[in-house]
Amino acid sequence: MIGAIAVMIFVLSITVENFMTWTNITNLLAQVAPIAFMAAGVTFVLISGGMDISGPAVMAASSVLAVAFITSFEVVTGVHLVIGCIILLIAGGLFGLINGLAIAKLKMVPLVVTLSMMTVATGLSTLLNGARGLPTIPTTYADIFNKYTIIGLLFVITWVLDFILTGTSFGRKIYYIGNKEETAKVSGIKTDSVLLKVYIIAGVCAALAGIVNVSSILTARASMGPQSQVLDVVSAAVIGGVAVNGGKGRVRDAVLGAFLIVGINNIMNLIGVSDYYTTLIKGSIIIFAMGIESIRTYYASRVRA
Amino acid sequence: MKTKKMKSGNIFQYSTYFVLALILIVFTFGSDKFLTLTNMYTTMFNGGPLILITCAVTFALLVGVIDLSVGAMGYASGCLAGILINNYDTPIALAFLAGIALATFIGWLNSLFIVRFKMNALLVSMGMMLVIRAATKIITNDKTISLFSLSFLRQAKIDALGGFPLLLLVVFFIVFACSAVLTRTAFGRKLLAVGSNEKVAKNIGINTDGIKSAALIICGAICGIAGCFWIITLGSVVVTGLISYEFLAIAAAVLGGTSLLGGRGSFYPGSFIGALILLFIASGMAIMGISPYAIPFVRGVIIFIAMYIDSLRYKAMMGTLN
Amino acid sequence: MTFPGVKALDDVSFCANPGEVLGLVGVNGAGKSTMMNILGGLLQPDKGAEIIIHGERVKIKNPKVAEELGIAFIHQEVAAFETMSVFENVLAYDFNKWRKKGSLFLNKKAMKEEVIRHLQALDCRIDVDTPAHALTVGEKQMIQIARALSQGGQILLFDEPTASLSDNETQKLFEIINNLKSQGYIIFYISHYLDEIFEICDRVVALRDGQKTGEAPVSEINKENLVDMMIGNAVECAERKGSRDKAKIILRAENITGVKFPKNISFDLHKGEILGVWGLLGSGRSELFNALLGIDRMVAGKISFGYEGDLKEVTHKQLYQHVGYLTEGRHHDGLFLDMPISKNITSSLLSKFASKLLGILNTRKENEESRLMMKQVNVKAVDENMIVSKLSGGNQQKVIIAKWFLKNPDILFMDEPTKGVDVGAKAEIQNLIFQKSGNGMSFVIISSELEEIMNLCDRIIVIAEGKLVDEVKREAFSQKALMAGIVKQENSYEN
Repeated sequence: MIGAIAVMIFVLSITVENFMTWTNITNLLAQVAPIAFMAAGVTFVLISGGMDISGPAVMAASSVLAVAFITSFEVVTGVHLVIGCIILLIAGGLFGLINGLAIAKLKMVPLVVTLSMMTVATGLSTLLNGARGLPTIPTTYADIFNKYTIIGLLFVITWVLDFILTGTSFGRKIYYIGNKEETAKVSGIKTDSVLLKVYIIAGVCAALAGIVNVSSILTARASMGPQSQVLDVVSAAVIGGVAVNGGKGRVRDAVLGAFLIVGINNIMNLIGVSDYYTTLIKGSIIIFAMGIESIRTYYASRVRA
Repeated sequence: MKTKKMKSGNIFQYSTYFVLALILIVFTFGSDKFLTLTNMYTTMFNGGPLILITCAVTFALLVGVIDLSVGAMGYASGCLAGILINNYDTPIALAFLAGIALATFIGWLNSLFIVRFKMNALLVSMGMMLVIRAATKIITNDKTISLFSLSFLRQAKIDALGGFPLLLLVVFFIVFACSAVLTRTAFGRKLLAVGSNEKVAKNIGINTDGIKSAALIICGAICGIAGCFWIITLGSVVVTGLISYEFLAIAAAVLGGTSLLGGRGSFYPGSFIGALILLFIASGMAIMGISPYAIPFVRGVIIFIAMYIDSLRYKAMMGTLN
Repeated sequence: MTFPGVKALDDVSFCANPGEVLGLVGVNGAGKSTMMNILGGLLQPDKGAEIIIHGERVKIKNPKVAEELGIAFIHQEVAAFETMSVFENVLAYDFNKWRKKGSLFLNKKAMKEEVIRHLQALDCRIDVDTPAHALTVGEKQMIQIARALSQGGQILLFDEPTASLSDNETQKLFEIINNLKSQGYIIFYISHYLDEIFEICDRVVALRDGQKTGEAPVSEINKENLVDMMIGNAVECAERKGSRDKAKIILRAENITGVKFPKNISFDLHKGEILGVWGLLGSGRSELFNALLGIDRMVAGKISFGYEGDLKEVTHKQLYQHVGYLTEGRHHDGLFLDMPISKNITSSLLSKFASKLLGILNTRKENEESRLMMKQVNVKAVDENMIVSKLSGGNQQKVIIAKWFLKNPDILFMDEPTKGVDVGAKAEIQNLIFQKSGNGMSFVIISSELEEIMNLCDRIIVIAEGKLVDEVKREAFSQKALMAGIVKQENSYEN
């Protein structure tokens, strides 16, 4: 997977003008960040054997909540911005908590739960958005969360999340549960508690994506998290080698997958391909990648039998 | 051994009617303009596409496949028909047929990827949705197409019944046809068998792959019809047509008692009433003057509750409810 | 028929005639299910196997072919289409047949009449419109039989049919079987309830370790003969250090009751003791473990634990900290098949390898300890990174044992510790158990192999139908002694 990206970058740096410029690459990385964060959160969920399609919706709803708070004050100070960020993160975590409770404690089907959460969260952001939308927040926010901060955040968060997943006992337990939940239970692992945390993490990651997105438009809109974005997020993870059935994958690769997906947009732009063809190509690549994944699983199961 | 009737099952069965009745009562109190014949007809007529797409997605859900491309399939069909009528002067009937054929073809593609190649239904149908939306955007150049030639269809009414939209009969017919197929044909029974327990169905000798593919193809066809209905009701082709209808349709189906895991569900009352519930929520809130932006939220909460009740329903049925 | 590592069936031959009920007995793993699965078309026999029906050689490639040949398999786990009604379930094998002439619609009236007819023949009065999920297991079984009859089957295979039935339902089933017998059907009947074999079967075939070890008309033998054929002769007990009664009690289980099994079981476990749990298949031994350890719901009961005999009541979670559990189904909940050996071994005690504050794992230490454990238990693999699914059954089992030895719990529960393990590994595992017990670890072991359980244990409790019916000390070990309690229980049931 990393190989594919390296090849892509190499080929493109040669063939496409303006790709390998500092400006372009940094812009690209800043664009990748939101999808990357959500893909990272989804990776935790997928590895545990679950599914979460509420990411973009939660991202939008949390952002809208935070911006509504910030702009409710006549004069917005730095303190308000900070509290707004905290509210964003907590909101994301709460949405994740609700998901986690329904899935881990009430034993509901993850797809069902996150589908409903998606509808509720979208509804919430539409409601708060209203007809006029939310006012903008001071540009100081964008100054703090500028391109470079975002890129830094991207690297740090990716590294931290990847480490949690691959280097701590908590992360290992997630792999165990995704591999065979029954065995994990018998081994003495408290599966309920681990799964609950997994969905909270996904919610917080969605909130992180929101923090980044808010800085680019300096406000929050319900349209920030369209349902089509879910496909980008989940595909990023799948292309990055995360198995939809659980037990396999890592955050680092999911982020690279996000880079690939957003990168395609960037390249198409540079070449001059219209937006619509880009989506077309992207959709086809996703279907293609999934075909490969399904062939992989097919052969893996044949060999074992 | 005495005869047995499942008592608790009845409660859940009638819950759909109950919720609809509740909604109607609430909104009747909210505004005296709600319970009028005109409003009823208009809501159902404009909601025709949703009702039909819900029926379409129900076919897929019955065999245990979650098809997220239904909204896009309907959109593609309506788009094609609209373009043919507007740009190529095609006779309306032919244009509609072309649209339906397109949607059916996409349904067949879905069956190829999901049933034959065993790819993940969720992601594949999502991908299909993306591709279709993108392709149609390219073809329509992102512009709206106005279709005046269809207004006569939209306005055809039966005055004797207080202005009953003629084309609504089509919707009713399709709902009842689907229902008849499900409950009274061998194919319908096989659909349930495959969705209920694919392994046992296969062991008994049912062609599970064939049934699943057929379900997805039919799903596409009905989406095609929904798409044609859509351009009639709207009178034009807009870029944002039928957006998010897939999630609404699935929610409506689940509200109506269709299980996301397959093997359980109905067209009438089930999906039909489920769609009506969502439609009347929007209609009632609009009439009462509530902000339209609150509609998705209220719908969302109701869907959340419905999903929870559905999981309870399932557990009660399987005997794992303590 | 050969599975990797073990021959499931080895040169088994027998005949069955119309109007006859042929019983098939044997302990867990003897090959009965494999035999039935072959007849039912779910498994294929190796070359050289011949199946002859009505004088014709046949190949049963899949369940559909089996059905066409007139073979109907009534499974133990009755799977029905829960959301469909009774008559639809019965006729599900060919819905097309029931279309009205010239139309696509089904003739439901005719369908119901046909099913009512078959159900009446079985003296079964279920309403054919009832949805399947509302039926009891016994009623679902009736449906399976009705389906078999409707398909025109002449050969019926019953796999442990009475396991989930009430006494009434069992009697009903026997009436039906007798009825079918007099109509000329051939009936195969697998059961571990020996009483039933004597009540309903004409002849019986016994399997052990994949081979036929006996065949006789039921009228010519008695229960002890049958047990002999199933289990083989008792073997001399090997040396085992003296009785552990004097050691302190480490675990006391009182009135343990689960949803169905166990029923009010109480026992004590001493430090360093090896306690055996004996009983026939389906008697509720695994259920006892699951209820005791909180894997399944424990409806009633009290558990007390204490190191120095100072027993204090504990919850399942608290008990589990001192316990290891090697389950019966290693592929179901014993292993992480796609993960390497090291990760499987360390899964029982991750905290040992994690830093106190952040839980950071020390993979080097993990690998070192895994290697140590692998050596101790003699897992034959390239290294600790080998993926577990690639190991043989015996080695997989040893990995699970290594996992629990790593945790070094005070009590190790083992459910069929040497199942599917070759002879050499069996002996190794038994020695490991001796060693550990000598160091103070207590064991509670379920085994279906008489030799093994008598070899290993200090004391054996006997379970039948979910209840504790007997307790036998090592001095008194013998095949007869161990079966006495079970036979008594079954006899008391009849009265």
